Order: sequence, then C-alpha cells, then structure tokens
Amino acid sequence: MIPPPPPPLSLIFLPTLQCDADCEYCFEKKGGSPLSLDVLPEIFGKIFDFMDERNTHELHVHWQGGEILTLSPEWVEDAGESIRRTAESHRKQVTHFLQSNLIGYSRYWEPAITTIFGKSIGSSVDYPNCHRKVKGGSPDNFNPIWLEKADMARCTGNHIGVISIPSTKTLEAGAEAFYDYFTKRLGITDFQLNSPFAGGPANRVKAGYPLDPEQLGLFFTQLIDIWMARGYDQGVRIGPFDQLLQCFRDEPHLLPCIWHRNCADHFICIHPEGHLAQCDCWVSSYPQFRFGNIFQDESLSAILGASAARKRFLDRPADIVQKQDCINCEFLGICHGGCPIRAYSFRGNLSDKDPYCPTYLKVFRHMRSVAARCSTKNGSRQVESIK
Amino acid sequence: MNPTNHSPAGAILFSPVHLIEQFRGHRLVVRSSDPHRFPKYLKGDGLEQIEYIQLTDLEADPSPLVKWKTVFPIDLVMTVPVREYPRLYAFAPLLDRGPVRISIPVAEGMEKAVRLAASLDFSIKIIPQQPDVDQVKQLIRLADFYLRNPTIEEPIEFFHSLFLGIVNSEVITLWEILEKTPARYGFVTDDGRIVDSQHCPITDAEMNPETGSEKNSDTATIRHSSRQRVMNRLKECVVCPYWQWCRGFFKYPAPDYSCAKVFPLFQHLFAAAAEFKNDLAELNSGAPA
Repeated sequence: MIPPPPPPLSLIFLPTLQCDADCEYCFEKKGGSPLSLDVLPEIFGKIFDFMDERNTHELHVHWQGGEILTLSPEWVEDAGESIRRTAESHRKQVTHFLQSNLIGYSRYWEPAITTIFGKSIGSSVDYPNCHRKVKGGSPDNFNPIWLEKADMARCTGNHIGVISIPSTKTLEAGAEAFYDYFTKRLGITDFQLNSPFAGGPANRVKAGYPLDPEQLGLFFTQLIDIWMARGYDQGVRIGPFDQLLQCFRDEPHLLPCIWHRNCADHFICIHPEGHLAQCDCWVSSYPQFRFGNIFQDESLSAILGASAARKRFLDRPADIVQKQDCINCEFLGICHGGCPIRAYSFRGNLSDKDPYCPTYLKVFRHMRSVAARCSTKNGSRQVESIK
Repeated sequence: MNPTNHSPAGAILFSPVHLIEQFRGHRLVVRSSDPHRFPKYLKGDGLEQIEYIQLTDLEADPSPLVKWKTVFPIDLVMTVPVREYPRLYAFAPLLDRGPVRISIPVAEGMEKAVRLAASLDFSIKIIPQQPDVDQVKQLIRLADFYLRNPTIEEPIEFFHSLFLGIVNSEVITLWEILEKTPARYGFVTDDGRIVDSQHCPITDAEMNPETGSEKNSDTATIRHSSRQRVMNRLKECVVCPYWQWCRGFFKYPAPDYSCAKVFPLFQHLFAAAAEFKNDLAELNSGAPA
C-alpha cells in the first residue's frame, strides 16, 4: 500500500536570541551570540537523518528569535542556501517561515525575504498596545513604528500576517474596536490571536496571567461574530477561528500547535547554542526541560530517545486524560488538554490541562454553532446530520 | 500441514506472523505481540496477501512500526482497556503513516478507550461480547458520542455499519461486521492449527441459508427451516425483532445469555436511524429541519 504523505516536522529555529524589542511579556532569556553559519550543515544533516528514521520528508523551519532581523540579510541568505544544499543532499523538502517584529526591516531584506520566505512575513501587534516596546522606547511608539515598517514591506508585495496577544485592556476595549483596529487602521486581513501566559522570568505584567478565561472566551466569541458578519466573506482570516470553522465544517484544516494531539510528535526547537527543547517557550528560560544539545551526539534520534525531559512531553497527553476531566470532554479530539507551557507556567505542573480550558470550551461551542448555521456539508459523513 | 485442507476456500486466516511461510497463498491477517516481528517476517515478495497486521500488546514500543518503511493497515488489539487506553497517544504517530484501527473489547475502561481512540482519529472496532446492563448503557452513550459528534472522523464499528445498514435497509450481520463469520474467517493457533474464528452457536448454512448445500432449494423455505433449527436451540431468537442483524451473535459464547439486555442498544440505533432518515427526507424536500 502507498502510505499517505507524512506530516512535516516543524523546527522552531532560533539562530539568535538578540532582540531589538523589549516586550514585557516576553518569555525568552535574550542575548548571547548568534548561531555560527559553519554548524548549519551539521545541525540540519542530523535533523534530516532523524526525519529519515521517521519516514518524514518535509521540514518546516520557523525562523524565530530573538529577532531575525537583528542578523544581517547576508547571514540569513547564506543560512538559507546552506540549508537548501543540505536538504538537497538528503532529498528533503524545506519550507521556511519568518516571524519578525519588523523593527529592523529595510529594503535590504527583500532578497532574503523573497528567496527564502516567499515574500511572507509573520509579525506581531497588540491592541491596545500595553506591553510591546522597541528597546528603550515605550508602548506608545511601537505600533506607529510597526505600521511604517509594515507599509514599506507591503509596498514591495510582501504578505504580512499578524499574531496578537490580548490583554485586560484589549478585553476592556471590546471586540469591535479590536477588529476595526486591525482591519481598518492596520489594513490587516490575516491575523491570529494567542492567549498570554507567564513564561520565563516573572514580572508585574505576567503576574496578571492568565487572563480571566471566561472574559477572554466572551471576547473571542464576540470577535467571531463580528468577523463572520463583516469579514469572512471579504476574505478576512482570523486564526485560530478560521481553522476551527473548517474543522467543524468537516473541511481540511490545520489547528494551532496548542491543540495538536501531542506537540512533541511534530515540533522541536533549537537554540543558538545547540540546545534542543520542545519549543521557543521552553528552550532559553527552562533549561531543566531541555532535551539535550544537538552537538552532544551524532544522532538526533539518540539524543531525543535518551531525554527524560522529552519523555515528559510525550507522556503529557496520556497523563492528562488519566488525571484531568478531559477524557469526558466532547472536544478532546481538537484540544487534547491544550498547551504545555500555558499549563506549566500557571501552576508549575506539566500534567495540568491548559488554564484557558474555559476559554476554549466557549470558543469551540460557539464555533460549532456558527459552523452549523453556515454549513453546506456534503454529506460524506451522513450520520453527522443527526443533531 | 496443508492449510487448504483445513480452511474454507477464500477465507481470511488470522495467523501468527512467524507462520507466514506456512500460509503463503492465503489471505492473511498476521498478528504478533512484538512490533519487531513484523519487519522481521514480512519481507520479500507475496505480501499482497496480507490484509492487515495485528499488534496484540499495547504496552509494546511502537517505534519499530513507526520506523518501518513498509506500510500495512494496522489493528491494535486491546485486551485491558482500563489499563491500556492512555497508551493510544504513544501509537498515534502510526496514523501519520496509514490506517490504524483499535479493537476494543467491552470491558472496564471501554468507554474511555473508545472516546480517546476516536478523538485521536483511529478507526475503532468495539467487540461487544454479551454485555451486561451497565455495559449496554455505555454502548448507547458511545453510539450517541459517535453519531452526534462532528469532530469524530473515523468509523466506530459495529455502530457504523449497523447504523448505515438500518438506514439503507441493507442487512449486514454483526458476525460480518466484526469479522467473525465462520465461512469467511479462520483462526490459526500459535502452533499452526486452523480453528474456527469463534465457536459459533449456529452453522454457516443456518446463518447464510442462501449458500451451501441448500442453495438449490426454495430460499424462503430454507430461511424458515434454517432459522427454525437455530430457534430450536436458541429459543429467544424465535421472536427476536433484530434476528436479521444479529443471527444469534449475542448467544455466543453462552447460549443462555438474555438478549433483553442488548435490546435497548438496538432500539436506540433504530430510533437514531429513523431520526436520520426523517432529517434526510426534510432536507431533500427543502422543509426546515
């Protein structure tokens, strides 16, 4: 039998932890030297060997930081070329994704963004902006700087998607003001909302996390209604709600990593010094959860296989269904207990379910009813019609 | 041993994987409790005879199957659901390679096992051997979970085929759905003997009166006489409204099992099928549902 194409391995690639922003809710321990270009063939060779063992052919490289644009465009272009050559020799397919705050954007970046990232940039903006700051600046001037840079980047044909982190001020401003800010003021038609968590060193801002899950859920459901009424048919996409809608309509979808059956199955992160961990939320700020260092052994598979920390991640969903109430949840199949860092940063227990469970429940129920109203299901699963 | 002398022509044999050479030429389901044994024995030509492979120990490490370049449909056979259900997460990466089914007996932990397996997108076969009243209640809850939850993608047998059979007025027996029809499935013991897949309380001719030695007789008469022969042994089946779906399935292995315990499950599925047909009719007529 011909097997289906296996899902890609996702590498969260942190070539630098230098950053030109100083956001108050950042979970990274920043600083240190960038990754050396010389070690890229070794790193990616080991990753591709690991993929061979798992019969995986496609690698998604998510360039994050730190801030990628604090590197030089030449460094990024050379790195992209090095990865391409290594992938070619291993017969692997690589797709790159860029996450950047855009502060360092200039036209000099265009060749790299075009060649490596396909003229697509993932960025970050909040409304109202309370916590994002350019280093040495204040929250007040972040969004204007961002918009100036985003406009420059869009002028040359780049697509910009945005991640936004709601705050208590966001909830106070309300879903309508939020939606209008992104779609009208910023001209963004592709954005995603992530929930804040108290990862990394504690501070005053993180002490307020998690947000009230019920209030956040209410905000999300109101935002969904506004989006469906005004933006859905005009091509506006809000993640993860757009993917949830497709999920409930039985259409192809890709839910965010927080709702994967087990993020440890498909994600891994590498630090500029070679440390390996589950994702960027863990690798710099929680050294006790590192899986090892990619330079310590010839085989990535051996490093991961020997890692007690990785085993804790692999075992987490099974722990949750035994210890929490998730097994009886009608949405277990699209949540699996939620995000490990959100759980751990809340109560220090990896086997807890995500503290935003009430938010997710509210969103899932709401999205299911939205999907039912607008569904034109094709009847391939006839039994689903019994509602 | 020549297996062709001992198994019905065209039957699928459930064989230990290490006996594959002995049963070349047969359609096979090969089983092992050790994942390493599948790559070890399933090499070379002639593997198209393999219908699927069965791993019978969920405590085993799945990595040999994840790393195996060859892909067969896999059936993971649970024996103690209450202990084994959390292990499903460890086997979930196999879903990235091809179809995987979980066979789950009606036993303690079954409800959790089915919910989790369905949530992970495994297909499922529930094996309902003479359930007690509480277990039937669990089966009814699971039937609703399956029939009414839009996030469940893969079929849960025996609900799926039985439900669609009822909806489409196409009779399919539990024996067939659960791969226990004696004429179609044979079981090879670990020492190579072929035995019936189950000690079925009715004969193949009784179950399928249109076939076999009676095929030239009047079908209606045969059906009547076949059923009558069964009825003489299994009195409760005489008046059973679900006979054509069940054909004595719930009389196995203890013929004195009271089928009144499982009637609520059949009633529930029939009611759901009626509701579904009604919904479909309204949908087709354009009337509001």
